[in-house]
Amino acid sequence: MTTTSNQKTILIIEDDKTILFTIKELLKIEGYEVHTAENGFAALELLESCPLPNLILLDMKMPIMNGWQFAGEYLAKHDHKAPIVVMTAAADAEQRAKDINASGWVSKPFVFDNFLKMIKKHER
Amino acid sequence: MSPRKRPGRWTSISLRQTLILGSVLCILLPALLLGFFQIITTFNERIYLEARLPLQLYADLLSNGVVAAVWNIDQEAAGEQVNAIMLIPDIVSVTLTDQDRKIFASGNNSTLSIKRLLREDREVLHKGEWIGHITMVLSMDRIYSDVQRALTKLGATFLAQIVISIVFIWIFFERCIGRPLKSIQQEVIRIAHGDFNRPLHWGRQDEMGNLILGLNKMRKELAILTRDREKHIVDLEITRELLEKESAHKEEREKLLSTILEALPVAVFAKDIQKGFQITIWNKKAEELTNLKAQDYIGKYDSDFFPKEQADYFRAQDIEASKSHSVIEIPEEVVQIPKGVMLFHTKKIVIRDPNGDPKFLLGITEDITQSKQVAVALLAAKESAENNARIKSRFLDIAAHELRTPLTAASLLLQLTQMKLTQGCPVQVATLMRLSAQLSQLSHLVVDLLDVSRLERGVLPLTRKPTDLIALVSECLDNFSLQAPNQPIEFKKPEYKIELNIDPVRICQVVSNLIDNSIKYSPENMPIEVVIKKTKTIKSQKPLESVRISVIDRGPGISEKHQATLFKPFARGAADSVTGSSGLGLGLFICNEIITLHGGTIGVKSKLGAGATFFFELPQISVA
Repeated sequence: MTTTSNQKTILIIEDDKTILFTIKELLKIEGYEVHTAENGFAALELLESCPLPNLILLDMKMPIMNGWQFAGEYLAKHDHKAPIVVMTAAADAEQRAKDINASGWVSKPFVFDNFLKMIKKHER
Repeated sequence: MSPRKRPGRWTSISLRQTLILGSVLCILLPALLLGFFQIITTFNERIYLEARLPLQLYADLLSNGVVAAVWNIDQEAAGEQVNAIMLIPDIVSVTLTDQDRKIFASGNNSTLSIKRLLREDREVLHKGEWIGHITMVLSMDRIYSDVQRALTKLGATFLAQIVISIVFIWIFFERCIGRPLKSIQQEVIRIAHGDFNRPLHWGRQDEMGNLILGLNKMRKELAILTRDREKHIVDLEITRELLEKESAHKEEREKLLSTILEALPVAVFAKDIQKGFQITIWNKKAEELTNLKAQDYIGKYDSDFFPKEQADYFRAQDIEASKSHSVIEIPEEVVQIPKGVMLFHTKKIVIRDPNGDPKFLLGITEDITQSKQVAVALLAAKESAENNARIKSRFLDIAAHELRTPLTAASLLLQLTQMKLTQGCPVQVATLMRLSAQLSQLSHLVVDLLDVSRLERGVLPLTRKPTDLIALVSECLDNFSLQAPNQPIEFKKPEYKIELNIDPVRICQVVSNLIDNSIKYSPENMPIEVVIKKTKTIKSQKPLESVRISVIDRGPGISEKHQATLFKPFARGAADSVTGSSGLGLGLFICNEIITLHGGTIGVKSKLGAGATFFFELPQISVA
């Protein structure tokens, strides 16, 4: 991961390719550098080789390694160095965020402006 | 005890009459005897004085005069003397005879009555020699008449004395005895009739006075006793009425208790502990429960009717209950009775006598065989309902999730498009295609939900029409060549035409769903096989021509456990919800329902790691 000095980096972990692509495009417009992973396992591999992002956007329900499993592994290794914001389509989004000790949560579907405020609030 | 004497004629005479009669007799009898003796004496005296003595005197005079005048010599002188004698009244005749019995002087008075005569014979002696004989006869009539008159007077006087005496005695007795006795008698009668309010008065302090005083005292005592007795009688009457009421009440209560006992919806029984748990009460419900009649069972023991093991069990329970001071509850006891094996809920309690000793063991038994079965069924139904509710709740979560995902994507795509348009950037066709795909996915999800809803309500209509099955399946496959151009699909079909009376849209939906699933789970570039062939199935014990359509993939396979729930609605496991399998999990359920509506069957054959074959069979009914 290469970053310019003021550019914030966000890691999106999401299995739905369309959502992943769209958020990435939107955040890029907002000036973020965006990295993506389609499951928890791919994200952990990415984090091994790159510096920690300023924020991790995490979907919970994913194949191969889901959000809970990822959070467990990530927090064990990196603590809260990069805050996690949970993105979920589940009804109990807040509970899911508490489950993994995340910094924030956003419930799908969401308005991008609000989503952006949430990112700005929690990013390092 | 002496035999009771029959009342005679004398027993009816009153005491007063008896006393008066007795007194009169006591006076009269001696008076009569005395009077009789006096009359006899008077009579004899008068006869002697007036007849016998004068006659002897005259005889003496005559004898002396005649002798003096020389007996039978001077007959004249004798005659004068005789005449002189004849002048004496009542002398009837005088006859003087000599030694030769020759009458030498006599006199006779024929005027006199000769009814009663007294004769005087006198021998005349001169110097010691019998010289003649004097015979004198005296008429007694006048003397008798005089004596009779005198005696009559005497008798009258005597009778008058007796009458006076009787009157005096009567008056005396009447005053001194009769009247008080009568009063006492009336008092006694009044007392006998319960009248105690009229005391007797007697001015004298004699025995009668004492008797009346005693009687008055007795009357008072009797009055008190009678009042007490009446009070006691009233009390007794009240007590008797109360007892009668109590008895009636008790009887009514016993009847009511008996009715209640018989009407109770639970079996009630009682055992006499002191008689070794002998049955004493066995109500109707107990009869119904056990088929043992009260008339047969009362007075008997459990061991007379139940198998030894069962009877021993009851006895052990009874002994334990009889030692307890509280209710012993046996929530479930399996009982072997003539009717069969049943499940009872029994409560037992000891009834003790006033000394606290165990007397009876009362038991109440309910048949819980059915209720237990119902409870088990209810529990199962409850668990099933709860399970269904959990499944539906989880399904709703999944459905919401599945709906939100394309919605989120579509929403974000629109926001991206909007942002780009705002910035004057061109909108890419790919973005719009992505948007279309998301909306299409949403549409499919909604259609699935609607189908499930219709199936659950039983209102999913089939529009059957004669359809070329091979052409239909080919058409479905063509769609996939557009949607998934990289997925190889092998179609193995017979050479001949298969025409079935089916709903082509729905059958296409089933085929598409099976292929879609297979693509989802197949490794890339591994072909999927779709095979159509005729087969025979046994339906209602009859062989039936049918067509089998199979979709074969080479994916990871499905475990047997998972296979069991594949075709059930809302049955996606919890693991699926977190492992990321997408979709509502309704597709196979809808397929199953559609095939069932067509009279066919659907199934899967799979082993973990060896791919899966989904198939359905449709009956080949001649197309009219």
